[in-house]
Amino acid sequence: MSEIGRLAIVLGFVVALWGIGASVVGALRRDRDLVASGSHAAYAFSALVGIAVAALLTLLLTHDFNVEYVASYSSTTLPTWYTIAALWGGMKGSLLWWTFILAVCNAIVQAQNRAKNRDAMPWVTAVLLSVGAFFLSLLVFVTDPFERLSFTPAEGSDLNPLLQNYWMTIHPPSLYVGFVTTTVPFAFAIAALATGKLGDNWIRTTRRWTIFSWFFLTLGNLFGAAWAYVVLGWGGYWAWDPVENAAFMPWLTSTAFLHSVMIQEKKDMLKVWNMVLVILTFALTIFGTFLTRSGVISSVHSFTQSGMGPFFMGFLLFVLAVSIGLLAWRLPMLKSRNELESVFSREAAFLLNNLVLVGIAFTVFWGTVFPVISEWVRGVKITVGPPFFNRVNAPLALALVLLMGIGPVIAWRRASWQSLKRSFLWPTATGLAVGLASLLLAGGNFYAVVAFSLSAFALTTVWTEFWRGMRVRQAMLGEPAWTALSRLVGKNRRRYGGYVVHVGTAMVFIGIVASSVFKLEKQQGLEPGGTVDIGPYTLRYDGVRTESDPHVDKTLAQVFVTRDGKPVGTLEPEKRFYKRTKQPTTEVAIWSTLGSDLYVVLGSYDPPTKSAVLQVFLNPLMSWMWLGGVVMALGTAICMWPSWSERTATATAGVPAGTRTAS
Amino acid sequence: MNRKSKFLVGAAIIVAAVGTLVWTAVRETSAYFMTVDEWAVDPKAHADAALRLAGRVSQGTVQWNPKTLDLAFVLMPIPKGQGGTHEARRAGEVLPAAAAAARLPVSYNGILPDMFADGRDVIVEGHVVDGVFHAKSLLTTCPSKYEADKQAPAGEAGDNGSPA
Repeated sequence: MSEIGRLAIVLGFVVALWGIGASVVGALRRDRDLVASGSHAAYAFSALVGIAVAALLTLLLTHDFNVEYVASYSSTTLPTWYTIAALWGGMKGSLLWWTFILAVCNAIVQAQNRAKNRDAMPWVTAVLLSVGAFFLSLLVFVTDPFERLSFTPAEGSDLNPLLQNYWMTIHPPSLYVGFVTTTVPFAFAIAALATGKLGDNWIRTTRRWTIFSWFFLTLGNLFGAAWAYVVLGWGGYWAWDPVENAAFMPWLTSTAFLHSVMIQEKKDMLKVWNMVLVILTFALTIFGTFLTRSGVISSVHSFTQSGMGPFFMGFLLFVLAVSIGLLAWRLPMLKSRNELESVFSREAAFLLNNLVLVGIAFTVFWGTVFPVISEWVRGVKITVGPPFFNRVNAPLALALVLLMGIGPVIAWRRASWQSLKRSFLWPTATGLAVGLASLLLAGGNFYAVVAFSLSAFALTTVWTEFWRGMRVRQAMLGEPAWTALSRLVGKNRRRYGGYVVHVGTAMVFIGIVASSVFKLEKQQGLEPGGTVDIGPYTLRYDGVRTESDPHVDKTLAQVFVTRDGKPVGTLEPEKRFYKRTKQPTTEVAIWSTLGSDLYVVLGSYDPPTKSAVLQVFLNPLMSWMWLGGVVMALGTAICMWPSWSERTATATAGVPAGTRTAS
Repeated sequence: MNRKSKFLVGAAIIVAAVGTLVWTAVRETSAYFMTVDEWAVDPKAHADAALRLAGRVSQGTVQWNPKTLDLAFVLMPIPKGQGGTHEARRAGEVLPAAAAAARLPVSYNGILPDMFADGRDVIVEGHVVDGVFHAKSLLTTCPSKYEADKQAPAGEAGDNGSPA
């Protein structure tokens, strides 16, 4: 089986090289047969990478410990679900998995554009296959996932226990899908630059891919935060670790692109800027992989360090050189005919939003690479920690929420005083009222008061948009409220889906602010029967019980919780001991309500005296963050949902859309 | 002033604001990141500075009081070639022998990380006061020992060549 896998990746690499050559030469010579051959190579590449993944999965599931990867990342006692997750649990597997997602995307792109984008497609194929070939070359020449050992261990050394968590089974795939799908808009952007057809076509073709990519980047980041929250056991979910920053930066530039692309579609402006954002987003995904794989920047949770750094750095420089070169070459063709007319306009609000998003991305980048830069410049490594990121990004995030309220409702071109007053009277009043209320309730924390006030402002603008649109339909068409609302959204999914995403974002923001500003924390050593109070909760420690199976030993503390004297239930924070890796881990117990999360950690347990140390956190409005994530996902799904009117419109206009028209 | 230059001025103000934010935050929140031996070359140079030190927990020095959550141990340099990214790495630099023998007592209060134990590699953040490192945070670095264990058999396989 490992021979089949090995053969598949070697052939896949050769086929990719052929596909790149055939596509480029075919495009330059206008040779249709060669171009078709390049496209066929893309399908073959996908099939071969699929076979390689299937082979590795089979090896994992059959516990063939003679294969180094299987021996390193799984064991006979590892539950099947995590054995499948071991596919992306180690570096070699995750590289293969990355290539596989890219291969699937490539096949979909080929199928979607069978009869469309004739000029661009060879270049798209060449770019996608180049990225694929790069990843496969690592697996073929540097680090072979199918490598066999000279002996067969009786048992594998198991997956890192920190990865044996359900969030970890969906977090990496989501993030990878988000990362990899940024390649598709990038490929179309490069194709547009190469062919010189720089109209809106490439943007319209990749619109849905971009939203799709953003959807998974969002989910990937949130799942990662959820994983950190339930697994790492320090009461938080985000530590500004380089690995987390690596996933966050492409999200920021991708968000900026989603907004600025609307300006290009409506006003034919910001063409160069959009190109830059697409290139930057893709480059940041490669940079992120470089960060996590190179060990250049020390991170608490880069699970694998390797000699991959130089390869990724080289590839990144190559990507940037080619992209910037093409962009500079086509710069004269990207001139816009339109200019900004007023500071009080939607264009200006969107532009500001872009500046702030890219500003945040820059500060995150700067903070992440600061140790390396300071070592170059001054010869000493200087690190900046979470306080740096929090301090810098708090004001920027507030500006972003303010713009999130302004952008959707302010008029295009130039807003009149009248229209400003009509649009913003109620949102401003609500914002001020909520600000005043939180000032009285929450006390003098400046950031929290401003944050709640601005969130209320942004939420009210969204509310008025829905309300006004619905009332107009009710009045003009005589539709009942629900019909009016659903048709309003249905007729303009992108706009109203976007508003729903804004609601989710505001909820996440409120959750982040409340849980970090008003967090309570206590640590206490307890004898059985001892109690500890936090907020409205009282926790009584009643000793421990133990569980044991061949894979893991568990010590579960019995913590009886009451709220204002009324019983809530028993929480069981655990200490675990994974037998294969001989590694202890901590499992937290969380009692989650809409108002707050009670988060309990078993700090230590002393068997002779039966005493334990409990660490207890009270995180206010924590669940708003996860609910906000669900709302964001829902809104994005509304945006992505293929709408009938859009399909027929694009079909009659002869403009290819991101989706397949009737086939 | 025409519109375009107005926008350019606006953009410049935003860029300058972000720059100022970054600049002041770096000044006030940064910490020197070094290994214990690098620190030991000239302890006075970083007398009042925020530090982030990488080192190894010296065998048999751990004192842990589960009641008060007080932890004390002695931090020593990580032997050459074992620390991965957490080693004195400045190219060509030879540290004085005294630095390699450096021992720094550390005090910490709080829950112990899961992987904390005698002989483990850790990163501590805090200040040195009167020769004792007061750690605000204590991180155990990746189970590099566990990684090293795995690499041994992989190397053997390399000698025999990978199967076709």
